[in-house]
Amino acid sequence: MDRQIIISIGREYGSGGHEIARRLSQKLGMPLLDSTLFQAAAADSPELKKYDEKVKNVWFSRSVSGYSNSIEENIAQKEFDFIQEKAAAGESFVVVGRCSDFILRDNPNLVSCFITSETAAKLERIETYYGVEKGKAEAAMHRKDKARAEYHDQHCKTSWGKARSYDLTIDSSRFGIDGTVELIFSAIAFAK
Amino acid sequence: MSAAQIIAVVIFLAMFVMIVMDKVERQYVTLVSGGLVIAIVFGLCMHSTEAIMNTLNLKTIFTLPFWYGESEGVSVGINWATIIFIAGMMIMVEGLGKAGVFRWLCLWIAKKVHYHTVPLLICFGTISALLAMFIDSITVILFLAAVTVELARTLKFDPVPMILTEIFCANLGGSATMCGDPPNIIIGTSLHLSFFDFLSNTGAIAGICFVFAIIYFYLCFRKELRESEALRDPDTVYPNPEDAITNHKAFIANIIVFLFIVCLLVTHAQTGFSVALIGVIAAFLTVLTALVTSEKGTAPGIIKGIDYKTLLFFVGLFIVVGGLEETDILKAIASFIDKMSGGNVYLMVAIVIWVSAIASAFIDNIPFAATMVPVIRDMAAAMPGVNLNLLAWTLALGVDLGGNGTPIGASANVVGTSIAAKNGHYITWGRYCKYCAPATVMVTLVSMLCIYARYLG
Repeated sequence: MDRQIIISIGREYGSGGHEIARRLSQKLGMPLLDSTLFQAAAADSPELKKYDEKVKNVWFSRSVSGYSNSIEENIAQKEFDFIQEKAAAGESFVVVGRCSDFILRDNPNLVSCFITSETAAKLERIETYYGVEKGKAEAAMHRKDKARAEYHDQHCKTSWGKARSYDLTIDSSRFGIDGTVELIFSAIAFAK
Repeated sequence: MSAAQIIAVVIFLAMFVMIVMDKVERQYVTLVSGGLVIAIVFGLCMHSTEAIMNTLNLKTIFTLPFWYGESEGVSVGINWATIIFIAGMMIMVEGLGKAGVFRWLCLWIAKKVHYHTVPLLICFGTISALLAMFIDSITVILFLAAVTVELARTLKFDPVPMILTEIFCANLGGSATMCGDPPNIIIGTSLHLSFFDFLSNTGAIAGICFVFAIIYFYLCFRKELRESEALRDPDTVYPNPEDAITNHKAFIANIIVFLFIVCLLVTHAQTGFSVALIGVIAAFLTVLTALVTSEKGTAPGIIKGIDYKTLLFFVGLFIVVGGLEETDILKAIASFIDKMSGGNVYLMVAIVIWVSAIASAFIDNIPFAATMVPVIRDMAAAMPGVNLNLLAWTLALGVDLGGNGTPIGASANVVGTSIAAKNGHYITWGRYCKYCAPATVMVTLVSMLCIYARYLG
């Protein structure tokens, strides 16, 4: 496609959102902006892996005139700047999470998606793909989703996972991973 | 406790929690809290127009002693002198920054020590303390940390040790004078102390602490910095200080204005100029300088540099503290400290300095100082043997030095750690506290012993 396309994928843990983003990037021949890329971009900063997409602790953080001591916040801001710079440069890409649905909301070429799924399907995926023990998968899912929601809502004026915050909200257990990829791919052509 | 007292305390505590949580910008928090104090505490509970007028304290601006001459008594309510002075200094600092003065100074020092890292650590620590005596520590760290990161990139050293030293010394320097740190301005203007009073009391003690601090940081970081210097590329191209100057005329003019304002501050007890008047003079001269020496649009740009949010934060804060004052809550706190110390001045000094230091390490020291000023005033009034000035120096040193203890204790710490993080050098709580917490305990202890030796010996 000639015009710039940015696809933002928000996702519940175990919904296959990352896999959908990866397949979309391959299908469209666009780079995938995910934790691997951000960590590679900051190879000399081991902190990035530790604090990537993490919520700041309000009791141990303080902001003064736009400056914050919170490592989580500084890393988030760096990633936001990185994403915004790429968007401003006219690049097309698929980005996973990192509040991209909100920080790029003014870009007319953005298609923001949120991937949800039935709990049973998510638990199966968490156990199969992430190797989490059967009894611990549900707790891990709740913990991860809570952290993602807090991270998103700490930086955005929209709510994580709420349909109004995105262009598309898709249940991947209903359409499957491939079906969801096709749905988003088809939707791009109609995006105004 | 009366309903007014309970509500005043609840509003105050809620305000503090909201400031710490940082969900809503702090000026909105204090202004809404201040509005609630006026409406509920003074209006509904106390039905007192006098309490409202006392707290708003507008009358004072239209009196001669507010601007010139010897003022008597103590201020209550909104401390307009603090607000006007800080606004004036913000304008002056903006002018100095725009002309490239701070950046030039940092690069000039680096050149003078031939870019050797250990002398640079000592010199940047020293300049940080000296500048913070006259301008706000946020600006000092903003420029120093930025230049440090830039030099670290060129000279291949870890900037974190130097940034930690600069932060610590900025807070230390701020404690030395009346205009160095907002708590000191609040203490000084509320109790009508002069710049020279601070310099000869907290300044002398801060000077002793500074020597301890510099030796401490030298011992902590000398090995690391020397090792990095040995690995430096011999073909390194060093930055030229002259490149920092954006406009030579403005550069010279702003330095003259700065030195003139320093002279006015040092001599304000003799000249009778109040700090509010000095703030207005600083703002006027800076804007005039910009109009004469710089291109069109510079002066409005400088005025826009005023941090209105901080000024509004102060307004709301003073009203909330005024609520505690008018309902006699602060008298009760003073009486409690009085009872705890059993009238023992040594113990009283220890309580004030350590409670202030520990509190300031975790919470904003500005609301803490604003709250404690009436408390120490009441303590001194209740105990004939206790000198108010002694408690003022103790409080100032406690809140200023305690802020060094954690990454969130003072504005300079937040700005310094943030600049480091923005450049890929993440300072965790652990790393910060490993070096700065022991140093904070050390200087607070030294200060307490100095107070004992000088005023109670």
